[in-house]
Amino acid sequence: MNHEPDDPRRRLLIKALAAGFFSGGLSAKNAMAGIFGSIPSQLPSGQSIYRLTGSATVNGKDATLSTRIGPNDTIQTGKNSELVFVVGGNSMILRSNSHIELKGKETLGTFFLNGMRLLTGKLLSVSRHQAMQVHTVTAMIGIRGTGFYVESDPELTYFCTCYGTTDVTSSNDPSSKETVVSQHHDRPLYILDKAKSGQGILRAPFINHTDQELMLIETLVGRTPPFVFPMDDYNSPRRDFNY
Amino acid sequence: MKIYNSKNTAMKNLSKRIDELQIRLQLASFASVTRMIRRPISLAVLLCVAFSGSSAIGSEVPEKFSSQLGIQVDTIYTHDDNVTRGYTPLLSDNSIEISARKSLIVPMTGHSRTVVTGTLDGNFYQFYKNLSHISGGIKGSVEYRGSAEFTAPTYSLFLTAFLDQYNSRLRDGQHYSAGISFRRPLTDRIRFYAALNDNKRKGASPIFDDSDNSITLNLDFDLTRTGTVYLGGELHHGDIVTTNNVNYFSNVWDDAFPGALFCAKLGGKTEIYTLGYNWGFSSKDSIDFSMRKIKSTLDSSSSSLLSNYGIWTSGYNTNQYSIAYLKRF
Repeated sequence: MNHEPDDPRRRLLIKALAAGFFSGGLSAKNAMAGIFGSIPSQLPSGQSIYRLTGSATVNGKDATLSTRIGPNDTIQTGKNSELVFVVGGNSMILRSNSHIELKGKETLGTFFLNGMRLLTGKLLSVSRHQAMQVHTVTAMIGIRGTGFYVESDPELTYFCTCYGTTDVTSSNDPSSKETVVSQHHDRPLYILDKAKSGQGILRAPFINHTDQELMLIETLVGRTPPFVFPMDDYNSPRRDFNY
Repeated sequence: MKIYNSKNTAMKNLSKRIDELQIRLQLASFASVTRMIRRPISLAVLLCVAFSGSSAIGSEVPEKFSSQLGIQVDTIYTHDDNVTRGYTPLLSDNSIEISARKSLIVPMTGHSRTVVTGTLDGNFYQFYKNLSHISGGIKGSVEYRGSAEFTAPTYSLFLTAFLDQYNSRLRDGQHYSAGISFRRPLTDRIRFYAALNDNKRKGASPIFDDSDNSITLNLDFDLTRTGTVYLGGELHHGDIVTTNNVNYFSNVWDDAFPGALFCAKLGGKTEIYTLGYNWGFSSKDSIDFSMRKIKSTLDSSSSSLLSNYGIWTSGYNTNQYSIAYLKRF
């Protein structure tokens, strides 16, 4: 039996109600923020997600702006999706088609991350004075509290130490190892799945993240990045109308 | 290979290069071409290794952006429906602009820096070829940003100087601009830019010695992570150079156009509105679409001057439609 209303206007009204068009000021505010953005500020304790574009799940359940993300949660994003979130002092952007497992602990209501496994996808993350291990399919990276961007692929990992110090090691070849001390995206790397012994780490170009994103996620945890001027070179090229 | 045992330095260098090439070829074999096409990140590795010479293996190139020159090259097609900037006749044309620019950043203090940008620009017209020109110049700016906060504004003092070489002899010359600007993110999706400029041009003909003051406003609105809509407005107040088929007082035949067209310098204001969309499909490549509407309005003295010649007009309108491919190397 078909329960669909025949009148197209009624169908439209039902869809509008389902989408929360008439559910008050909060929805309207969220809708406005979704369109025009918002001025980022430190997230209040208890709020984990700053922005969700598209779809994401936390421990298999659909995420919303009110979903709390804990230090041992598993997060997945869908196609054309992006999740901007905070766990303890770590602030992150997880891009589309990504799958990450967090490892950490909760002490007196405060979350501490000490590791994460990026099974697939792309992640930008910032932290301070906090040792952490990042695992991908091809790399193990020791973080000493820094900003980094990582892309995990079955054949290789892209890793940029945006600022700070990291220890990068190939998962399959411990002799391929490098310590990176970076002030501003100084030494992006590829970590290969298959390579000659000691040659599993290659210099890489800068790709797919920006200083504006780093400033955004640092703001969410009440910090600023160590650079003052964001570099335009990290964004897509723009036309100059002699502005 | 015996050649490797040579004591000749050049041969040693050559053998070293061959070794590096062999290593690179071995690296390239880690994935088949088919898999590379399916996986862009693998293709990126191959391109990185192939283009970076020894950089991927050795340490002979500078650490920072070993594969990036920092030069942006713009290729822009524009249709302009009023290249005479006049009211009669209205002549339209198409142009291709190829522009290359590179910036050098010199930190001054923790919160200030100097940015010097050199630009070389070629503009080539399809029908009115004397409008084609080459320009080269430099822009220097001193920028200040008080903090690394997301919404902290950036203030700038700038000066530009360009040499212009046209096929039209009258237009050869230089142009200069000095001003101040303000740039600030309003939200995490919207950025605001404003500038005050003093603009001057020195042409081979006195008609093209013109000047104006302008205010520029621009809003960038990020629709998606890679797509940005921008909306700009400029208001210029000062000289307007226009070409028409009436020789009312200048008696200067415009050598950019065939037939009896004459150029003149009048006073008034020019409004420029820009609506554009930039799609950055990688961190080094963008496609840009834009529309510009230019509306010049003569001031009362210019209008009354023209009315003495039996010409009743308030100014002219121009529309420009552009598509651009922007590439950073």
